[in-house]
Amino acid sequence: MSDAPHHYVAYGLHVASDWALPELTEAPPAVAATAPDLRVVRGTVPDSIGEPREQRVTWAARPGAWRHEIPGVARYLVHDDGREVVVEPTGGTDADVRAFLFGSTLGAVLHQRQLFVLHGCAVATAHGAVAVAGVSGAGKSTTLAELARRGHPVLSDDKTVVRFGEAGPEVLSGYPTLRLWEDAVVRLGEAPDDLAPLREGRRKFLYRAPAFREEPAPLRLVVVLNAYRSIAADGDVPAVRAERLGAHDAVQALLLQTYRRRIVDGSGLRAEHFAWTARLAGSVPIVQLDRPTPAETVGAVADAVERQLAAAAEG
Amino acid sequence: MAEVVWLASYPKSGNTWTRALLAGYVGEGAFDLNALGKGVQITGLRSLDDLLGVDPSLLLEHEILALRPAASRLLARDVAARDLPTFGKVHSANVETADGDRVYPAGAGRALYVVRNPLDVAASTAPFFGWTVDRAIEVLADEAHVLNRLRGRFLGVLPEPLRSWSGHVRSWLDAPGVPAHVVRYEDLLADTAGTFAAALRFCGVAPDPGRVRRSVEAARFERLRAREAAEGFRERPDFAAAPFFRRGTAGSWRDELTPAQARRVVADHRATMERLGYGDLVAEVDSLAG
Repeated sequence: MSDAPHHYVAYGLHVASDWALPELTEAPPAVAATAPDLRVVRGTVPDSIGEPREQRVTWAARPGAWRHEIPGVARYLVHDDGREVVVEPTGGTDADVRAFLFGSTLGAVLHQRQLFVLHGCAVATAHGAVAVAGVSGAGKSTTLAELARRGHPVLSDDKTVVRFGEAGPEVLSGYPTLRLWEDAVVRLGEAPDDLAPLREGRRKFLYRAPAFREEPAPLRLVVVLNAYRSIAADGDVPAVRAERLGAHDAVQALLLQTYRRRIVDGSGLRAEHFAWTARLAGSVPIVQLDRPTPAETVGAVADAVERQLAAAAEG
Repeated sequence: MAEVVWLASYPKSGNTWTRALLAGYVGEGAFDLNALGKGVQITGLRSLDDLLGVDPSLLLEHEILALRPAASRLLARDVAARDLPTFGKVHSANVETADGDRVYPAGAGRALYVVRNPLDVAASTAPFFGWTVDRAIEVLADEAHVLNRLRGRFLGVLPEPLRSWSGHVRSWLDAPGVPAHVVRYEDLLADTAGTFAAALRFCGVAPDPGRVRRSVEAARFERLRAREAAEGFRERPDFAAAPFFRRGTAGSWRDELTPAQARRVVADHRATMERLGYGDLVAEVDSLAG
């Protein structure tokens, strides 16, 4: 039991929170009555966590603790092996505080829990789940929006968690709220001004997926999306190219597409993470999809993902 | 210990040429025009994402600005163990933050400041950004101009406050604690090898004459332009109305600006032009008839 006022489920965890977190799915009463897996509490975050093993401008990590600070918004502490997040607002609105809670902070929670976190999104299909990873700007969210528009239930956005179940790797169900740039919102036929902005003043919006899967789904394919600047002559649009990566490249790609891998290093979990990466690379096809920019390729990319998935399902 | 060298310039002033020279020097005369960022590290959104440890698309413009000095210091720390300097391409002015720090602060690197006379910059930015020459001259005088303003889609680049052309020069050359070496585009044209070798020395690299020669040959303007025509150049933005490597000369303002336009440029930037040794151009414009 927890006396926190708000209960949710995300990535298979029962989240008990001092804050309302409308991005998440509410926990059914039977789950809310159990001990939480993750507590989000209002409290005081210390100025330092001691000698960090890894550090970036807004965070510091050592085994067992991760501290994040966005000046003028909030401070966050993730500790207790990813079982508690302490949040101390320092001037941000609730929406601001949540914007960073569901960013790197959630990533630190998942890493401390030793889950495998890909920087990317996932949908469930009749052939199983596909995870779409890639660097910022590769087109992950736009692809996700298009796959969702085609009727595939969303599993996760931005952070996709894969674990090994009895039948092999599976993608956990995250939460149904996507973060979409204005252009992707418009492409979906929605009016941006009807949606809540991620933060006041940014043209990036919170969008509730039309269909969301609340159970894990077997992972059949990982797509690494890569945008390259097309230098073809005008009117000569090159095709979206797909290449299945060999063992070595697949491991490298998964390491690169790990959500903020420096948090893994700072948490002292590099060896475990590497072993995990190699296991995943040996379990499902890892396909690199190159899409030319600035050409309009969202439909072609979604077609390619569906085609690769069907091929993977046939084995 | 290796330092960060900010390869700083106002747009269309020779930054890419300098990067091609550096990439050619490192690569013994060979470089991939479409991967200049690999030989010569660039500072972009993904690099900032890693340095900040947070997705910059969650941040507001003033928050990004406030965090950038710390990001620059962290970059300096990250690369200190390398053998060679790390070059960071920067178009931003080295502006002050609200608490008096600099975006590229003291103790976090030095600046190779590439500059071109503002008459030619006006002639070159106009077709590049799709502006009239009058608009280009206006922008060159605008202290509030920001390149790559945040918009409703992923841009891959960061907002870069440019200041005016003169403000840009002052922000870099007068930044306390940031050693700066001026590379004039006109000097690079007149004596590429000598000017480039001096720049290398400032970066702590003892220039090897054979490598300098091969690098200068590989980065000759005609070659860069021929390669852009043959291979394309991915750094040319979609909006550009002209080839990236357009004329590669000094003095094209003489047939692209009217006397009245040239006088406006000089009126806006006289002191800074004289400071950078462009006094002859100031005198020439002052004596223009019409």
